[in-house]
Amino acid sequence: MSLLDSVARQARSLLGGDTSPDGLEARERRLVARIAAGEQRALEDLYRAYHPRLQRFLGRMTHQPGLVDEALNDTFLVVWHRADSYNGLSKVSTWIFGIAYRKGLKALQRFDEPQPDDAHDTRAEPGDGPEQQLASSQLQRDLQRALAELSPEHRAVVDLTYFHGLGYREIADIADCPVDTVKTRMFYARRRLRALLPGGKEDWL
Amino acid sequence: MKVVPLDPGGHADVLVLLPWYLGGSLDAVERAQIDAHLAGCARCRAALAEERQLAALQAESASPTGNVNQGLAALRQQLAANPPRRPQATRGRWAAWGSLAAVLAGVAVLPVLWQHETEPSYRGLGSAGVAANAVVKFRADTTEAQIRAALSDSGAKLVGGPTATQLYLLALPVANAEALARLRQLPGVTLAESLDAGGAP
Repeated sequence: MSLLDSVARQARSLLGGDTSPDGLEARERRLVARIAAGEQRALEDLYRAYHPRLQRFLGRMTHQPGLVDEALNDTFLVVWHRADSYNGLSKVSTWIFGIAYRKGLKALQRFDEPQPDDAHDTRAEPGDGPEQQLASSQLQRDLQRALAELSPEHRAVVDLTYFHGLGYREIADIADCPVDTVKTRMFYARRRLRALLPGGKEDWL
Repeated sequence: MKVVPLDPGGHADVLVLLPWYLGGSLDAVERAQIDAHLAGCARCRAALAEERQLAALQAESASPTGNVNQGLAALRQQLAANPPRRPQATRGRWAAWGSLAAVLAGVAVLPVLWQHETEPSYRGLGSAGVAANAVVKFRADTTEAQIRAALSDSGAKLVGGPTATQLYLLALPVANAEALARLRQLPGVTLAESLDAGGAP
């Protein structure tokens, strides 16, 4: 997971000092407190630290690259205006990803993307999008197509689990849903994605 | 830690949790239970191998990367279009929330709020300083009154749970074989194991 490592390194170098998870969390909490006090420089520091992760997350969740920048900045406008409502009961990253999750869904609503369940949608054929063009192999292109068939909520759980390495409780906090919903979404998504693997079948149990 | 493997029909629980097992985000009890199941189940070991492939495929896939400076420039324009924030007495509100959380969790008020406890929630349910030394599972139809009676009979303190696999963490006065055997004989108890013995993670 070299990209993940580099993202983590970047975050640490931006925030400086103690590189332990606790040290990082403490620094992020201080940044949020400074943002709540109206310090724009703190907002920009937090923005730089989260930009790569949220780009990835929102890109994966929405599957609409054109919506990512807008949803990301909308997320940080909420961070700016609502920093004083951050209550410290969750990690800063959980709070920010939760805002991004809601902003991603809202951006999709505005975009009025036909949902996967719609009988006759008008989306471009799979394979046309930038994500497909970025894909380095046939398997990766197949993966992008399979992900495109899932709902944004399912894609969010998949990305938060596999790429961001979050636990199901934390994902439930982000998506504001019961942990069983997270588990069910992940199980369903894996069944679909598993069909891509050599010899893979959808039926599991 | 001695943990009885899930029963042969317990594949479903294991399969559901495999992504988080692989990602290392499960708590020690869940992890130990899956380790125990995997040791005796070739089918779930094969599923774990597939899970590794899926996770690797996801992690390796390229991400569209935007330009952070451009994004920041756009954000500055948006902020400039809005009236400046008025600084607020945030420390007061945070401290109030922190105190509330501390009272709810039954722990002493933390002197520095930045170092707020981020332990998994199952550890936050009990009293501070009480370490779990046993794990217990009840039959699905066990009533709350029966659970309370079982805890009271054994002198156990409930430290946490239920976990995703319906295990409860207990602090027994003495978690020896005799105490565990007594627990297992109580109505509704289907599993009782010590967390002290053994070297599982």
